[in-house]
Amino acid sequence: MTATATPPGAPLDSRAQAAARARRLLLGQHVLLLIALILLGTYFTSRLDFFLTSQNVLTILRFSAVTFIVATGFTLVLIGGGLDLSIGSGMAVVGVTAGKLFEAGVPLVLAFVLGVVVGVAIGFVNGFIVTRFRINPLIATLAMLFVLLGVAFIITDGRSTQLRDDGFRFARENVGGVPVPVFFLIAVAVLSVVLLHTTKAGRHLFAVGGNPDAARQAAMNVDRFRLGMYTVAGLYTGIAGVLLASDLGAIAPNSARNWELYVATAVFLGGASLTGGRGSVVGTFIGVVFVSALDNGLVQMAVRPQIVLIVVGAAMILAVAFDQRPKGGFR
Amino acid sequence: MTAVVPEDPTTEMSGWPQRLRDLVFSGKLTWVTLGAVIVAEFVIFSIAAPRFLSTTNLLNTGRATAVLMIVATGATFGLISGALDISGASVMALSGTIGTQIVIAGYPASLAILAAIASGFGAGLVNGFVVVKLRVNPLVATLGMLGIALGLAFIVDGGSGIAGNLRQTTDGAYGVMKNDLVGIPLPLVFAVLFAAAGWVLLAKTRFGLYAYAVGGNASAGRSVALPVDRLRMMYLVFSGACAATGGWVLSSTLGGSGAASVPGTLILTVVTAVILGGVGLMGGTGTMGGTILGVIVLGVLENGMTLAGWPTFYQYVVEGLLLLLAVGLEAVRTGGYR
Repeated sequence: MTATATPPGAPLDSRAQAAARARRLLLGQHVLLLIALILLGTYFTSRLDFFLTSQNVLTILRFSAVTFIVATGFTLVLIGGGLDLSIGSGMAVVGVTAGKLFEAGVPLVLAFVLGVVVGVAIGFVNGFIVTRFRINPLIATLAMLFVLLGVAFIITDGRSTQLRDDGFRFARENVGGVPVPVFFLIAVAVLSVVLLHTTKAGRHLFAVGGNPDAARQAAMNVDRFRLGMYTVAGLYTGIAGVLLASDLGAIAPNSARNWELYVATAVFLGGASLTGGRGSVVGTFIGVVFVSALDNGLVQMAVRPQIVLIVVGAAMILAVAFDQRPKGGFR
Repeated sequence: MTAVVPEDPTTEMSGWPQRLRDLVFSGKLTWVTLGAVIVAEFVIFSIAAPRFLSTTNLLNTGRATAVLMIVATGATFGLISGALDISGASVMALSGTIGTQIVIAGYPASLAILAAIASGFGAGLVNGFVVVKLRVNPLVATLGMLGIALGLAFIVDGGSGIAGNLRQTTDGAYGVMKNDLVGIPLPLVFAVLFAAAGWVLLAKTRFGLYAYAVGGNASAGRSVALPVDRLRMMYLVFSGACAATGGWVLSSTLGGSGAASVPGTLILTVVTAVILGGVGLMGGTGTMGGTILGVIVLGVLENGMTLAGWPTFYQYVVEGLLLLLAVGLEAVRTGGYR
């Protein structure tokens, strides 16, 4: 996102401005990340014969889809100046709710819809706590991370069970050779881009996150925006939670542990800012594909999964450091 | 901490509402409330679980809570200086794993303990470097370290997550924390001394005073020529070293530990204890006394719930809600997040 819009009435592009814009475009975080992704892909392709096969690319996309959906919610919340660390636990609650309902004989579609509704409710509760009780979103959602994790364990009594039902496992199907979750990815991406860039509420969200005080001065109801964005993020958590449960074919309260780290890394790599007002769906998509490709390639090179954890942690620090550099960062 | 009562001319209150308001804003309420909560816990749990009030159980609670006290001491300094360090649980895992593997490899216990605690210095130095030099928000820096230290711990123990050959580590000085000192568990003795030292360090020394200065108003600190960056680094290193010390105590109590021996949820307990104890999220406020009370509240809660037969995961819910309550109270006091 280039947040600097030319003010109306300002003189049109001088040569210097054009150069600055070109530099911004070329050195923008998207482009750098895209270059990094291509380099990474080239490296893995040279080391692994099957990295660039269509099958593996589809696998990467399939894994990207669930991450992307929840990461988009995370991005919206960041744009609005919030933070949501409860996403992994939220997905777990959604997944086990849908699974338990289905196990109890509730029709498949209804079980999934109710799961998504639970996700929306979780998002609403997050937003409510942040806006009504004035609790810092970092701590509010950290607390929710554990409350929801506990709830997921309580629902399942601490056990994981397999669900061997082809209907429940619809996320493993392919339609026209494309994995089902990819269609959800496209739907969420389109919906989010439309929400963010064509509606007034979407455009105002950037203002709310970038400078809440100024937004209040401009008579925007900051709290209502925040409540709304957490609720939409909850919707995405719901969709992602259902897809993950379906993909695993299991009721597993532990399924989305540590997702916060992966999602935060992808989103920060994609150029969203911890200080609000900045972020984009496209950037998040590239970030998610980058992290998924990294994970996929490293695992196939038989690198231990723990090393992936280290690489991801370091990548997140570097992404934020790079992002904060021009603005002076944390002082 | 004594918070400044904001001037609010629109509300003229007298009698008990004003006194209640003053009490809320003064921060004394934190201590009174925590004391009351601890008493309430003792009443509830001694009814719910008859074994709760036995000397053996109380000493066990002390043993189990010792690690929390040690890590929370470091986190208190960190948060007062403005850095919420959430890498603690992973640093503990790394420290315990390094110590255990060194003992298993046949080196003396003193070396193992030194190396374990040094790993926390290392993690804290990296955190500090990232915050001070790369200008990354401490939350993100330590979230990254959470992944890195846990990954390293798994590498050190060979990916198993467990201690390896446990028997060898139970002997000798490394496992000293399994013992009692005149009937009192050694970890409890150690934690009490540790917390007392932390109290003195925070309340009576420049090291403590500067934490408030850096966390309360960094730019004011800079303008009176405080080396803010170096100090920030020192508090993160201190926090890492405390976490590593806690990691060694846990490892020693268990007789050796691996990367999976430290539950990741421990960091929630640490953060909850510190914030319950009245350390402000924005830095610059808080006391060791508050943290100690916060640690006791949570230690008794965990023990009592376990004795009363509640599964661990109910504790996540209760602790999460407690954290929300603690921050909610702080938000009332400070005006909260806007």
